[in-house]
Amino acid sequence: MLVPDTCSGGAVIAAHLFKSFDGNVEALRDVDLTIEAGEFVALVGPSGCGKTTLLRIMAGLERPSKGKVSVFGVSPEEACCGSQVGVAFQQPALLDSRTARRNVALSLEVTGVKPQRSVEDLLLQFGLGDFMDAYPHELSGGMRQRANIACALVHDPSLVLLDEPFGALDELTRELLGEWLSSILHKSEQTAVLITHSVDEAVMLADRIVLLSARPGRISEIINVPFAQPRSRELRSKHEFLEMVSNVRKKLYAITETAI
Amino acid sequence: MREFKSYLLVFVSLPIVWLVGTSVSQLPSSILPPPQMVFELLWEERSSLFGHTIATLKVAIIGYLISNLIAVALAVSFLYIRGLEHFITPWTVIIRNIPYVAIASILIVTMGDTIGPKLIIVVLVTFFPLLANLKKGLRATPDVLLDRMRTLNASRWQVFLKVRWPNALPFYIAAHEIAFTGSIIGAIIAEWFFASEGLGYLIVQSTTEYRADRLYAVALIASLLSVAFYIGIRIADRHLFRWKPDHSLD
Repeated sequence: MLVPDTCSGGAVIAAHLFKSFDGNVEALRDVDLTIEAGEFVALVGPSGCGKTTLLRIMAGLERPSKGKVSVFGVSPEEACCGSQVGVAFQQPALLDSRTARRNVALSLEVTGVKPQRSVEDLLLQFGLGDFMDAYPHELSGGMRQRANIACALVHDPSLVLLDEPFGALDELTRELLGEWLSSILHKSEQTAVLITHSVDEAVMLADRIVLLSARPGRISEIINVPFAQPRSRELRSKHEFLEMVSNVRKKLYAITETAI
Repeated sequence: MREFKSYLLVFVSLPIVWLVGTSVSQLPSSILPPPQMVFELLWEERSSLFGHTIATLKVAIIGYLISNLIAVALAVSFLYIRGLEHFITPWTVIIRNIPYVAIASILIVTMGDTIGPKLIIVVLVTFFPLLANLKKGLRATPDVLLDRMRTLNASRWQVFLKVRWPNALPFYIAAHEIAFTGSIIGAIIAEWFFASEGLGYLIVQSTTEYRADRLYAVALIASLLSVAFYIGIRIADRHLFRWKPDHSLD
């Protein structure tokens, strides 16, 4: 088992990262990013700017064309070997043939990890207590996403990567699930990277927002979110919050407009 | 249940339609025997018919098991051995397109009246839908599940056993719906060419003796067997795949 090495200067370090596909489609250009242990970082940027590619590189699912990534001081693949990475994909990675309980347990069967919380406790915490034995098609969209996130968290990974897990949900469900996710992650002190298209969501959840420019993806700006964690629902209606959302949105508009 | 009731309806209404057909057409019983004549024969010759049915079933089931073993082995090998599919596929296409009649004749000439040629015919009739569906099923695993397994550092065996195989099962069962009933037809074809027992042999014997009643009896038994096989697969499908979304509509 790999022990998170926070002394090496960050939970995730991406240094001069380049990625092109088939030699001509340039997805990422010279990305430099350090994410501290326990930090919650949101990746925001126009569609097709390489956010998912960056996340997939951190998960060891893609290799950079140039540059280096380390996760707790080792390569992402080695971090995966040590069961240090949990990924919640945009499309729920659930097997139709397994119930919610058995889908979550799949991560434990594969990794052999004995978790701090049992699958049942986790599902209870995730509000799926009454649906543990339901198959994916019997769950609502929000429940499926919660089960999907439970699959990514059950083996207690130190790094949680979330690729727009609430993208397909309605606004209210999104907000509720966002609050719920934030409370869970802050209790566990896991490092989290969230891809989102929602500026509200990014400001509400993240400690830092990384703005990526249009393709090829480069870091346009890193914005610190000053609000103390954990954040309450009331923050959404406060002036400072709304102002920050408006500022980030303006920056995002500027990036997107230059791309169009 | 509605699906199975409609099969029952077919078997109840068939003798009625048949009876009406014989009395309206006025065809002689040597061409279109009335149902009561066929049922009488089924009763009188029950022990002989049972023996021949068991002989056909033996060929159909053993042949089908062999067919499944080969199809599963090939589909899995195609997935993991690069280039094997390109090498094997032309052979399967060629074999598939040689008329069964030609293959059966060659096999009987070379192997005689043994179980071998009959099993080979059953394998040839049933093997292709099994292989095609399994191949498709094993490749239909969503990428997102394969990605999840990679981030969990799953071994190839774990990916196969826990993700690919369960995902391919509905495709495999769908293939059984076609292929399992085909195994009966394959066995009868093989026996029709050269055999001293089985339903196929009875067909040849009854034709040479102008026994239309026995021919109809054999046809009835063969269709009953096929329907029983089909319904068996459908029941297995319902029990195994309660998680399939369309089953919630039943």
